[in-house]
Amino acid sequence: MRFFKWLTVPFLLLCLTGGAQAAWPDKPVQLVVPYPPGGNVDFNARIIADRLEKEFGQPFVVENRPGAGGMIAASHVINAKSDGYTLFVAPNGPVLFSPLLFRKDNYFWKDDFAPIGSISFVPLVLQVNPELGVDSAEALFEKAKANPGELTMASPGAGTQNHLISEMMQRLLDTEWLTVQYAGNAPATTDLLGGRVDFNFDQYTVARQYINSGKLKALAVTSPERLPSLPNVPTLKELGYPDAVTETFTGLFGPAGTPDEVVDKLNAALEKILNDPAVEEKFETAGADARAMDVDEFKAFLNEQYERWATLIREADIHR
Amino acid sequence: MTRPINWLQVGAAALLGLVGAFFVWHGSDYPMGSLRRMGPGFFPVIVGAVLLLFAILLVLEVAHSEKEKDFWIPRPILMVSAGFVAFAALLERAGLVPATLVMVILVSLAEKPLRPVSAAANAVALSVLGVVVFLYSFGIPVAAIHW
Amino acid sequence: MDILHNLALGAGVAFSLHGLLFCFVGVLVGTFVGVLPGIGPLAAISLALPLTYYLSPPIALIMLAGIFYGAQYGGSIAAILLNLPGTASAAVTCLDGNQLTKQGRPGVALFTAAIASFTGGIFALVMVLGFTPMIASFATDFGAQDYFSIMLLGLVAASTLSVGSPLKGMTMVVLGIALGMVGIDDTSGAERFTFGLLALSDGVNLVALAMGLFGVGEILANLGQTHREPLKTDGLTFRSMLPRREEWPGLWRTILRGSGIGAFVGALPGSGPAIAAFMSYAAEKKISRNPEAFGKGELRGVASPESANNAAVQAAFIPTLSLGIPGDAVMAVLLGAMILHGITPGPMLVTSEPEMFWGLVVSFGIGNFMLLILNLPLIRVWVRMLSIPYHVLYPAMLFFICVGVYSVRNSVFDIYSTLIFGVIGYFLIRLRYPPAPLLLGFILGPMMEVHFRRALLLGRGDYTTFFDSVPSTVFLILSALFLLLPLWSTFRRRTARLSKEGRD
Repeated sequence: MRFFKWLTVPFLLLCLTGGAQAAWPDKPVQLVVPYPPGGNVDFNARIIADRLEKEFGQPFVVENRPGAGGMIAASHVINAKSDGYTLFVAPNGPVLFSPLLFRKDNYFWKDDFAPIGSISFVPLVLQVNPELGVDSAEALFEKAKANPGELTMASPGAGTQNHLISEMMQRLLDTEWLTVQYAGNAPATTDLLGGRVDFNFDQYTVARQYINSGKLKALAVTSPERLPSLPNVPTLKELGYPDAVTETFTGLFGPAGTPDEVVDKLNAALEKILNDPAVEEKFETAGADARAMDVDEFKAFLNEQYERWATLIREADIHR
Repeated sequence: MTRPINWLQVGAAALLGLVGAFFVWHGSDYPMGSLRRMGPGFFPVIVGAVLLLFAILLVLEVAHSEKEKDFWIPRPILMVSAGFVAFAALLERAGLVPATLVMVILVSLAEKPLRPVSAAANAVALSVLGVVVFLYSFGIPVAAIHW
Repeated sequence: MDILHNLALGAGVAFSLHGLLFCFVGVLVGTFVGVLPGIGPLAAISLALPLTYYLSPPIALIMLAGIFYGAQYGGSIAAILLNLPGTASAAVTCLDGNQLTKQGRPGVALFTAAIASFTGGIFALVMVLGFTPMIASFATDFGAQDYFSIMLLGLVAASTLSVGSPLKGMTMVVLGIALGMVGIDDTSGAERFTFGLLALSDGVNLVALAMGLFGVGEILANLGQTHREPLKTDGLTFRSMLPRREEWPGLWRTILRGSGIGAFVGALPGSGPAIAAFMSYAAEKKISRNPEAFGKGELRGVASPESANNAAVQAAFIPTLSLGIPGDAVMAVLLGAMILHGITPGPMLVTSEPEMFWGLVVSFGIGNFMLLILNLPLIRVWVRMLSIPYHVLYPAMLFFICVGVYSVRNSVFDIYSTLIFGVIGYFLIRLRYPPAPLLLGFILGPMMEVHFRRALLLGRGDYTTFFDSVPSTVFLILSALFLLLPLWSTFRRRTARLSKEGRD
């Protein structure tokens, strides 16, 4: 198996570069992931690592460096040589928000990272335990407004996208609920399933299984459009909260100063990989949406995300 | 007949008390919250206080305990520390092989008599084993040797 | 019969050529990984992940699960022989296991560990087979107050873990709790006692702590001895590895109790094998007629944690597979592996992927059997390891500790922390402070705090919330009993003596 893989290497390289001198990559490339193995971001990294290896004929090695809201991995990447051999596969938090949340100014995404491209997007789902007896997002919001501070919301950690959207909704609805913090999605989901908390906003990758089995009820999604697999669930945008549109993205980054040539090569490879039906299907089974962007599009997207959520973090005084 | 005061044990208990006091002092910098809704400072202060209390009781308990023989062992502690520090410093900068060689030689010096040949052989053997097991089988993200 | 049908379906997968082969590969790699200090099942499973791309999903899962429970078994080997706990649960096995080695009975300890692990695994397997749906609903019914109370019980029980001064033992528990507070507070998000160090924001690394206190501390203590007794072993014949005849009956009861506690604790997401091992050891010591023997080479002190941790590891698959809730980091990787293979974990898994679920369950049985067959003959090899001269062995142990600790999260910082805990460990050993209660406090303390505060938050600050649920009430009463029982028995002994004196 492995042997045949190596045979295809020179051939693929030839196709890709049209026979020109292929300077990069001529040795293994590290894909640094800011979480332990097993989660959504790690999953993203492992899928594209496998495919990038086929594209470029060099091993792409996934390296998990968890800790400090992703800042340990981020610092590792920033301090690495910007030669395209150390790359960062990361979502919103570690790239854009962690320094803000931890009140540290050890890096700023615009100055310290070279955005390469997006990999996948996961919407969040507003879901309740069916026993709460709430059938729609409007009903939940009414209930929250009528009883400020009474409803309970499970968050997988302070400063997570799930926590941020909850803060945003409390501002938009001009009411309050009780935020209960957990260490990750798993314990939060357990308490929601057990009916000890009323609702949460959870990544569709996690929420999907409980919604499909009827253990939890989806009331709204945070994506800009309705999800094909949940056609009857409205978006928050439809319900009149366009500011609450958000998705957890996973993107590929290099340290600032990564050669444009490498960035462009990788972006083109991502474009190709993410449009491959086999890869699309893999992401879809996991509940994520594989979506490529060109470099400028990606930068503009990051900028919009940063402006909107960083403001919220500062104003709501959210910190870790 | 009582034994003389065991200053070593008393010192250790006092040190534990200092740790407890530190948790109380530093913990009270964090919001305490209330009994019904505790802040992040609540538990550290309680735990620190209990540690302090236990330490005080310990001072009484151990004051006249039997003396430890050969307690201070500067050579093993120094050489093992040197080995760890060298390994940590060299691993990502110089690679697994140099880190292993230096570390194994250094920690081998922790014990008398010196056995230079056996230590060197051990260092080489462990470098090879480390490369095979940790680099090739487990793929830890360091190089064998950085040029 | 439903269950027979399911078993047949599972057997079809697990007894296939691939099923058997990769189950064997899994437990073999697992044992090996478990013996190496620090590397741990998490690293091994994540590294084996890419290899499973070429396997069908059930086979991949069988292999990865084999690594997990194989590593639990392997962890006991280094713990017993070298006092090196590869996992936190193995730290409990160190207590009596290493004492047995020092008394020249390493073979017996390893044999007992193998039998106990096997029984624990099979016990949990029967639970998974018969009661998965029931246990799964039970797992979601367990709320913050219940977790708090069960952990309080564990902590109270921990006061019995120490040999020697009870006050020193309790002080170590409290010191462990204090150390556990370093890092981000999950409830509020505040950073505590990190001194601005990024590497400390997720707390002190458990593996660094365990390896430092037990492994490095012990090596330093050995190096400091001017005169070392060479280790004697009890021969290498099979007969010499068997426990003595009078030890057997008590041993079986211990193993069954350990399996029960392990399976129960393991089925709760968010507890794990280490807590199971600690609880079962403490319970065993509590009900033992001569608790003084524990910590000094009591065979039951090996059997109890070993049966419990293996039972817990396999019972942990219940919430993972039937609810999609990973109990710990290893389970999270296994779920990740399923997703990579295009399988959606979750409440419908058992019905939507029956082949995988039942195949995995049957493979537990096969895997445990393989571990037993594989390891009984290997005991002889492991025991021979002890005849390596110490001046060759200890640098190798230190080297494995260094690389192992580094590999947990690719962090150089953790190498330094292991050293610091090693030096502290040496002082603790020499000053007769027991390190095991420290470790338990470190594991349980932060969880207790989180659950306590969450229970109060959800209960709107009402302390009666701890008596609102049945499990919580039961555990609180048990904790109270644990505390009062020693008082009562001293009282009884005194009155008995008084009445006896009266008669005389």
